Amino acid sequence: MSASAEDTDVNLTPLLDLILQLIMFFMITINFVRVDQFDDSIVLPTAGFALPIDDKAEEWIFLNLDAEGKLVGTVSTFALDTPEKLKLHLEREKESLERGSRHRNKEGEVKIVVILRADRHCKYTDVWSVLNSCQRAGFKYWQLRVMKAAGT
Amino acid sequence: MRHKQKADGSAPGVQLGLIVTPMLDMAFQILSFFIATYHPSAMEGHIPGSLVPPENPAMKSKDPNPIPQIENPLSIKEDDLLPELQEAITIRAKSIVRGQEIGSRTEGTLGQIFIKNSLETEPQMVADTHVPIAEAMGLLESTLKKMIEKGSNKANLKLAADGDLRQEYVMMVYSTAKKAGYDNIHFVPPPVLNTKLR
Repeated sequence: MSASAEDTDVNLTPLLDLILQLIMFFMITINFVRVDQFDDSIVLPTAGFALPIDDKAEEWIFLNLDAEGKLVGTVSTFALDTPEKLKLHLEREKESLERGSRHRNKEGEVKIVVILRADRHCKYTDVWSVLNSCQRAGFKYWQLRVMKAAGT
Repeated sequence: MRHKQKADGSAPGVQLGLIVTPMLDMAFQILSFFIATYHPSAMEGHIPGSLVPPENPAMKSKDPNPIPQIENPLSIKEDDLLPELQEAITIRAKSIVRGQEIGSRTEGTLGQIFIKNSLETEPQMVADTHVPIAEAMGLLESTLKKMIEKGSNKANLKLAADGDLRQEYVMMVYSTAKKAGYDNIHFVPPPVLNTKLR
């Protein structure tokens, strides 16, 4: 009788191990994962000879353009329905990033790169509309995200 | 580890065995988590570009206002470009417009493709709308390669696409030009940008 009772004991140790490991994993990675960086709703166009993603810039701004040419992701919480409003928003973002960089005792120009993730179905003019706002907001660098073609 | 009594009772003592079931459970759970959350970010690449500030443009700045004008055929006038860009070959990618649909070619898909170099007055048509897109890309590549063989500058190339052309076709033309051997491809703003840019 006592032997069968011993057999039914639930061993919680592996379960606890698992939970603790998962908690640690989420704690470590949660700060680095941003919704805008890999927005699955955006289907990127394929391009040959695209360069691998580089992380040399000091600061990044991610802009996701959907198939209709609308900005989605975290910026969609703001009413940025005109290029002028987008420009003002980007100017504020730029100032905020530069201020943050100065707080970290960085001197000189802060290299901020605008990452544009434009859907494959969006129009060329929509891409330029966003780029125009970025340019007028004072950004100098941009990258167009694409899917790398096989074999390139 | 759990100590197990031997069932047959033939030999006294305990048998030390490694219980792998919980470890396997954990491994499968972590594996399924990674499968569920996997994003093929390694498949993503980038095309770098520069946004020239209005006060220090790469083009010869005559107009302090960088906003393109509607009546302007190109947002950057040909005369305002740097000399090396003036000499560059221009690919003109036109889009199918409403009412011009042919078969699967709907509005926003790639239509005619033209090439113009600095010496020519009229652009040369590379592919018409009835040519399948894959074939049109092949024609474009061979034409560009021939231009390099004839001694044209392969350092710079301008890509002027219609505003209505979808991004996937712009990238298709870009890839073809890169494949043909052109190093720097400059995206020219569309001829008519939306009036909301003003």
